[in-house]
Amino acid sequence: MTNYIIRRLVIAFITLMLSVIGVGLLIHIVPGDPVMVMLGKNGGSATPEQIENMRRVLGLDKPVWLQTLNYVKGVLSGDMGQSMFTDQPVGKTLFNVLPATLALAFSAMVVAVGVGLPLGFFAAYKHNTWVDNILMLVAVLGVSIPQFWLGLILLLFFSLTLGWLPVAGDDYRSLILPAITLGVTFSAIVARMTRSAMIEVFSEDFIRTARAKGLTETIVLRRHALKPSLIAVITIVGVVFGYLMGGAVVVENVFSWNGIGRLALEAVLRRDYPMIQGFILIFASVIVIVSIVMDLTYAWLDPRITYD
Amino acid sequence: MWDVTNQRFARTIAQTGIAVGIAVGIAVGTVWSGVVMAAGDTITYARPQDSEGLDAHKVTTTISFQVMQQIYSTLLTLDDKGKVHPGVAESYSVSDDGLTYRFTIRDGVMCHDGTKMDAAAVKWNLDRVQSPDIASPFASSYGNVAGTTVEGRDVVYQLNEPFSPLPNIFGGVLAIMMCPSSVQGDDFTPVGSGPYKFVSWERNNKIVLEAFDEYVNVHPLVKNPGAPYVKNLIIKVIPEGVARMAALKTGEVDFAEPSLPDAADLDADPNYKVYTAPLSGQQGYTGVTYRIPPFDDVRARRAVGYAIDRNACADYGFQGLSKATHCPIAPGLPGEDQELCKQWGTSYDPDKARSLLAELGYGPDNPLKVAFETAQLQGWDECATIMQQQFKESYIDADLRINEWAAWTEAAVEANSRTSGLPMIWNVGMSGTDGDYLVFLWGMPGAQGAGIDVPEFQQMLVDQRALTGEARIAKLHEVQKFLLEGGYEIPLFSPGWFWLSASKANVEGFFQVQVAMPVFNDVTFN
Repeated sequence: MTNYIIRRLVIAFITLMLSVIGVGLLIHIVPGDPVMVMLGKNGGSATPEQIENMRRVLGLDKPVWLQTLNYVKGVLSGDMGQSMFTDQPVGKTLFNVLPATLALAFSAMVVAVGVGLPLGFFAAYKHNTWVDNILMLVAVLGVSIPQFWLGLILLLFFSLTLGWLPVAGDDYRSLILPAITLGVTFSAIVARMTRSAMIEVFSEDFIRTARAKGLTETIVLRRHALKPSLIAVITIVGVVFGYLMGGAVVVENVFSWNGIGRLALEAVLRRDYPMIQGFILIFASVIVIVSIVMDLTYAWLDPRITYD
Repeated sequence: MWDVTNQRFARTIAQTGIAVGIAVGIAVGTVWSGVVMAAGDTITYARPQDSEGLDAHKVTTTISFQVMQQIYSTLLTLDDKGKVHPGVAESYSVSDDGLTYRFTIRDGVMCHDGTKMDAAAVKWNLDRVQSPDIASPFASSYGNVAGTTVEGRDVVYQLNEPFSPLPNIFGGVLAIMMCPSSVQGDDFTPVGSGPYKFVSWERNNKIVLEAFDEYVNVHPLVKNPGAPYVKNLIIKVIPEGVARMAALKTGEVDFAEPSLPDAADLDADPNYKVYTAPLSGQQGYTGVTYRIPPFDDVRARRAVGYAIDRNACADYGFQGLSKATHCPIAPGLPGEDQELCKQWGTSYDPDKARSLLAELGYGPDNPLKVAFETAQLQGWDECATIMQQQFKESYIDADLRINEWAAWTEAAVEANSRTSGLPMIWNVGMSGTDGDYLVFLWGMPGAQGAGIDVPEFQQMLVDQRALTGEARIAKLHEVQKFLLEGGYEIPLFSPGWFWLSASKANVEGFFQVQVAMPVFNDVTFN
């Protein structure tokens, strides 16, 4: 197992470096010059020489491959560079908003799993009955509702009409509505995945054996069916969590939640190259870590799975 | 094989239950605790975006200036007629040849950290803007600088060429004076001598400012002679328009920048006030790629102008909250004269547009095909959609592309560099405190490469900088006449970006000064 973990970490490092290099090269293809964005509408009367000087100061006068190489060197020494627009260290800026993104991601997952798992479990148990049909209809609705619309409806009802929650605070109360908005969508996905996995497990021979032995249905479901079906659920939870850590931009915008998604969007719109690369580095790191944790969890859930 | 023990199962269920329980508990606790309302000693102002930075020598966006206006001071100030008044400088003089400006700095102007805003501090600002290491976008905005020296309380600003717009530029937010203690090595902390001092900044969330008790006002438009009446100012980011309005209505914020439809609704509601920045200094306009046929022909350029109903843009695109304009220089700035500009420019006349294009071989069976680019800002996309339909009436087949700013800039720069291919019509805006910004727009190389390489015109732009008073106004008229008669610029509306604010009706004393800068010094709550 130790060798496996070391191997995965090495592969993770290579993946991250390739991501950073790839993005570093690709962002220069996107139309838009950060210097021109900076000059904006009140950009004074910068002469061509001064514009070239701005490029020099920002490092944009160098070839793209050299800019990327310098960035990678910086990352390897712990420096993610400075934002071209805010002059602030990229690492500090991103890590400042990371807790907010983590809080939102975790809260959304609590809602998603807390609602979706029992829903899917019950739907599978009542497979092919009207209960199953109703629950899956609810799940389809949950996936279909646009987060933007749901978020605004919740905001207008709970914040404006009832006055129960703040519109745009930055404490735990402001976390509730965005967590519910995101959680509703993903609970539907978790429910469907749980249902599918459990239905498959229910048809396994060991379930038939357990029932034939005279075990109660409750024990059959709890002791024999739940754990093997969790592998599929863990997979979807990991994927969704990774997605959420990239920032749920729409929900963050609706609820003014100061997460990494909004920051990344602004960086893209401004062509703030160091900030974009920093975001990609963090996002790729989260995906890689989640992927490793998921693989290790599989081994815990299924003793047949071993890693050398 | 599946060794699920009761213990493990119970632990899993318990952990899930606890997590869900915490979430429910928070929800219940919230209902009991209620929502905190804004305190009476705090103004909270909600905007859709965060400032990019607070280093006045590096950032160029209106949204950043709006905060810097609170923290810093300017060397001079402007009244609502554009007349220059004292600021950090109590007086100034200019030599007969226009090359030497002498600014006498007021005694006793203090920075927020107790240091002085004196002649040395002013020189530090002017030198820093010129420093190649800073690469300030404003390096050429204050004239062709020879150098700056200090003589007692005087700052002597030496130019290589006359630059008569200088006092107007120094009177506005584009020439801010920071306190030198703002910069400590590589670290930057905004320290100014303005009405509010910087407290903290959570990026993309809020900027917290606190009234500066030692502030002495000299701005001609501000009534309050001292520190702002309300102690705290929080400038908050709420990106979504619906959420901003909800926050205003619940009292969570005191001011909010409304969307256009919301502004129109609030304007009709006696419980709210809407402010529209009459001193915006903003000018939205249309330009064309004049190097690409057929726009190398003045008839084609003027045909575009005749095809546009700018009143429809202002009334429908901007919900009546902007005004149609005819001058390249924004309303309220020296040299602006709407009646004269109407004579030189174009007004909506699709028959005339069609007639001019017919002379060039375009008609219903052979419409003029163009790309039509505009940046994505509220009101601008609606205006562009209206214009696209108007173009169609005049047999201009415009392929409308609404882009975010960076992509728009790239497209405009590329199109302006060509002399063949698909011509482009583009919408953009500019703001400033003096019509000299026409040099930035149309001098060489020009904004987005649109500079007009006609030597006589370039000379006019240079000449206006050397003139003062009525002679300068006359020269600015010549510049605008050239732009309008030549169809190079088709003015549309003013204002057009970050110019709207709304508050509850119990707010008194709020207004905006040049280039749509909010002023909170006089704000009180009834």
